[in-house]
Amino acid sequence: MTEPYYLSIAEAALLIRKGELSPVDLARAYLERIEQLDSKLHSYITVVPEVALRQAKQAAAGNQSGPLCGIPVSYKDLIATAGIRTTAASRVYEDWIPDKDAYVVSRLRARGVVTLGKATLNEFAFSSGDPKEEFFKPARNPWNLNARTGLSSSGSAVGVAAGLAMASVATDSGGSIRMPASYCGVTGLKPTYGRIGRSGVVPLSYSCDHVGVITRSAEDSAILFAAVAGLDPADPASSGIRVPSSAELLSRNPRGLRLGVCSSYMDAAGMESEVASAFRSALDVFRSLGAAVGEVEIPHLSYAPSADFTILRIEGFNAHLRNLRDKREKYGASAFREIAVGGFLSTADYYRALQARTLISAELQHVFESTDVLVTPTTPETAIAGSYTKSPQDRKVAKSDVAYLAPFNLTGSPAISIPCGFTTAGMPVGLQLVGRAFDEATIISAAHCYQQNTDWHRRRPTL
Amino acid sequence: MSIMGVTRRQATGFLLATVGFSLTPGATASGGVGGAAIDELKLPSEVLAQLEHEAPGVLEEARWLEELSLEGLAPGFVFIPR
Repeated sequence: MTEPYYLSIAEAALLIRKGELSPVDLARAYLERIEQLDSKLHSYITVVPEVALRQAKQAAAGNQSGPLCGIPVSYKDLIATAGIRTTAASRVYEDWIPDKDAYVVSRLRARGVVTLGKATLNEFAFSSGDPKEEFFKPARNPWNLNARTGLSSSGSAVGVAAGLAMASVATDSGGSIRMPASYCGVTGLKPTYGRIGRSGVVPLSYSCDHVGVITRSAEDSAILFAAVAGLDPADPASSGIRVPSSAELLSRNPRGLRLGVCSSYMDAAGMESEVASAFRSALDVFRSLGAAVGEVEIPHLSYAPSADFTILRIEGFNAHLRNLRDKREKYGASAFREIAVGGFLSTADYYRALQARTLISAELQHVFESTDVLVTPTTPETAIAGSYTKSPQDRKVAKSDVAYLAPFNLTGSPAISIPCGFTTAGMPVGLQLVGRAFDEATIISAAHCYQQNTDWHRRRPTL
Repeated sequence: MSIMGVTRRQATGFLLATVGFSLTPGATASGGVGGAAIDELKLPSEVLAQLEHEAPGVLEEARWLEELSLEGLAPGFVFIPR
């Protein structure tokens, strides 16, 4: 039998339902694994064994049922958890113990999900991650402790990859779920803007922040997404549009699926040669499953990261304005620098970026009239950079680690990153599938079919 | 016109902020000068001086958007069906 800490949500739920696995034993297996490994991985800022065991006992007592009952997860430490310290990795919030759960936490608690702890991030999900300037120790990549982790939701991805959490709830404003998911070899879903409520999440950028999930498979993403998506009355940007069941999210057959590849953009941003090779192989898998692959053009896509980060910086500056003014000395040097510098941007810059959002969203919408899924690498490089086959052609996005990510925070499109290979240095490669607004089902189904026909997502780091 | 990769308009706001001048809210909101939100932090001059080293890269990134033909386009907010 698979070690309990590497079971999928679906597998664990079945064993729990059949009485072959106790939620308490499952929680204990994770807590022991955290105790054993997290001193070197730093995937948690706070671990809550007493809370986890109490919640696991409640799940075992049969007060709740369903596919998430007794499933142990972590939450990125900018998501409020009642009675559990929530720091956003900053001294600004070092003593904050919320009296109320974030919406997404309350949804999962109602389904019997067990809280293991709070996952590491870089300060406010926006500092540079330089260990010398961070209040908490940065998470480390389980595939190579010296490799990058992708910063923001790093603790979430590291924990899921290393078997220190079955899944994690995280956030993504410019790639913060998908980049660490790609670097750590796990599955990261950023749903459509507004799909998962954000009340109780420490904000960075009102119009770019998304809540999403990091798991070890697309199937687990579907189970978790179906449970947490839906109208959050306290989030004005939240949508009440119907959320498919997990079965519906996984049911679409890839035969006849129209995949779009934007080669001109990939030439502009570039990618290392081993990423290019894994990307081509992934397209071949989809072709073998009956999907059609065609070229698409998104003429102004190379402006999208600039527009996303201009909006993000201005909204981030304003979200932090009071704390930047009143608690400046509590910010780490990097977080202060990265957030405060947004104050040099103007209202004209903001308006122009919003107009660029209109332009690029329209171009993407046009692509989706004849394409079901846009496919890109998740990042141009893996966690240990390799060599490029050819030089990227556009300095706006060349070798940018968010080149393939930030555009879809700008447009609010759903996107999922899945492992699609490994480099000779042993680092995971990520593949990104992007869909139409509110059509998570198509990209999750496509990812699920891919994972049923490959085993990249089943590989585990040696620790 | 650009000065070290920063437009004149942005550089004006940047320099005003750097030397600690406050623009009136009206001037900022009009977009005529801009770049003065940093003044709201009322930072000590040495802290502001450190931040100014970070500003050109951020301003350059925003400036790339000036290459786009955006006239007449509405500002884009993500559409949320309730």
